[in-house]
Amino acid sequence: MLKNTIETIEMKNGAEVLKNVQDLKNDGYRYATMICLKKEAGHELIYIFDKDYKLKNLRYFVKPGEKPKSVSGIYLCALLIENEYQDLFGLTFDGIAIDYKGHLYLTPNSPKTPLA
Amino acid sequence: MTTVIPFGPQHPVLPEPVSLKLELDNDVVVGALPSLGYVHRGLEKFIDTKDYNQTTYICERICGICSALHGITYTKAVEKLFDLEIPERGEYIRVIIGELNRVHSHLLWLGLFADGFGFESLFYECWKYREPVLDVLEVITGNRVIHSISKVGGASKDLTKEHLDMILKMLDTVESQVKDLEKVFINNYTVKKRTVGLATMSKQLAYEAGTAGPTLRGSGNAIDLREQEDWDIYKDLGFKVVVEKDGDCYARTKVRVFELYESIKLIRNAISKMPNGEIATPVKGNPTGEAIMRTEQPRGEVVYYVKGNGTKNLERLKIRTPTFANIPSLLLTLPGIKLADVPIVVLTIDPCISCTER
Amino acid sequence: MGMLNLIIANVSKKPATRLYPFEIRAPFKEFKGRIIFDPANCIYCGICQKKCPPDAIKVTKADKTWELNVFRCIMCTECVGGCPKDCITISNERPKTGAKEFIKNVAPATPK
Repeated sequence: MLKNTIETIEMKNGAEVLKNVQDLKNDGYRYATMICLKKEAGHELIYIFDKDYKLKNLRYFVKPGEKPKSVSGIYLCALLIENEYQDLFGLTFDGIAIDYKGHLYLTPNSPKTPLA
Repeated sequence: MTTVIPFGPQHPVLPEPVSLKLELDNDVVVGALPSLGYVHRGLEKFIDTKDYNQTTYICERICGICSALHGITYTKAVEKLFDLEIPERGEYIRVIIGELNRVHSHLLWLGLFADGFGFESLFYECWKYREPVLDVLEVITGNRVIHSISKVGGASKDLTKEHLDMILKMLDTVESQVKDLEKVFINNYTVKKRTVGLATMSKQLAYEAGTAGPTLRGSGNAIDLREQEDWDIYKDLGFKVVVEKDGDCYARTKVRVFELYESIKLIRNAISKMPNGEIATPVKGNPTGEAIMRTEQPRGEVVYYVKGNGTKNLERLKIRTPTFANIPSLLLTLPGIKLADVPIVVLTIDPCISCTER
Repeated sequence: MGMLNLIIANVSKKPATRLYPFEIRAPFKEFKGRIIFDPANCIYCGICQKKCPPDAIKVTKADKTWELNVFRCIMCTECVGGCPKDCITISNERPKTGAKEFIKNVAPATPK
């Protein structure tokens, strides 16, 4: 049982994530980063937003084989971090503004998905 | 008819390799595509084999210029997992070394920026003024750039009275030298002609593009993480945010010059208020849970996420560095400027690519 | 006019750098130069090997050897603080060029 946790809001599906992110943008929140962890068989994404030095976090579980939707249409700065997770964890995001297709950091002859 | 020119990984003005493919129409940039990956070392995977104490040494070596605050943020994040209270003298030692690191980093940037538009003698003068700062850091901690001043539980070395007197004498010299530098960077005709009105970002655009640090504060947003509640020692030292309204390269230069004065004032206040006592508390057990810690590095806001699962190795470590957040803003400001001004615009975000790619 | 005075002063003074191989500055007291091992009290417990972040120390208890890879060492001084018998110290003299890569120490076999 985790003693120290960060406060998060759980999301059920991709459409709910997009709607919440759009509401936060209209509210004046700033995009800080997104964290990806391995959890059971799939991955867990934590989106972090910040306004007036207070954080708001959204947690979303990605089942194996599912393609999460990209938020780079709402916040442009999300495109770099989503490309990084395409390289390192083998995820595929749907609809990124600029897609490096798994070659942002890794070259064709390097080990595939090192953190997966 | 557009041509594509590589603003290559190797360029005389860049301290670290980043590649931008610039699409040009005659002389004016119409599009830019960054490509990274030249210094990716995969440091986040080291937590599988090193325990949570040894990872401090790895986190410090992500970048050579901003190394003190990487180590301090990591140890504060792990201390949140243990719910530890650090003695006050340990916190004051960390703040003094962190602010000395900021002074040397901004002096380094001023030198590189002057070299970007051809003022080579000014480049040498800025780095000459930086040498006493590095000598003082070597006398206190044993190393010029990678200090290892912070460990989980507090500070690793104590400061004696001679060290504090030496810091104060050095700060008096550096302050009078920065006053001379300010006259050049802010009042010189050539500097103003080349930087005023270049690559302007409005207040709304800088906020929504997710930028951090002097790039964000040069456009009128008063956001500086030294005002947050997680590390409230800066309130006792009388910290004030430095903000400029215009949003162009000239405003970002002014932010960094005035932050130098602010850091010197913070170090003097910290030395005069320093309490006596222990510098570290002993740590028992293994970390569990998750925690997020953010601090203000010389280039902006850094976010650390740690997750422990009860063993002595951490389960996940994620670092988001400030240059990672500032690079998408280049895609928004580069279109519309001439090719000869591209090095100056890339330098105003203060690119530290080895932080970006870890 | 501060910069103009500075330029004229720079032309007339001697250079700000030291002429290195001929003038060498004495190292500071706290400078981390090199690791010194004293085998007299070593009990080959292996604590220094466990603490070393880059895995530069190798200790074998059976053969009684202690080996340090000098090029891998980052001078973090974790081994200095962790040794229960205070066998490892750090000195502030800079290693000369051409230093050997390994410092190997084998305890002399006790005659039976």
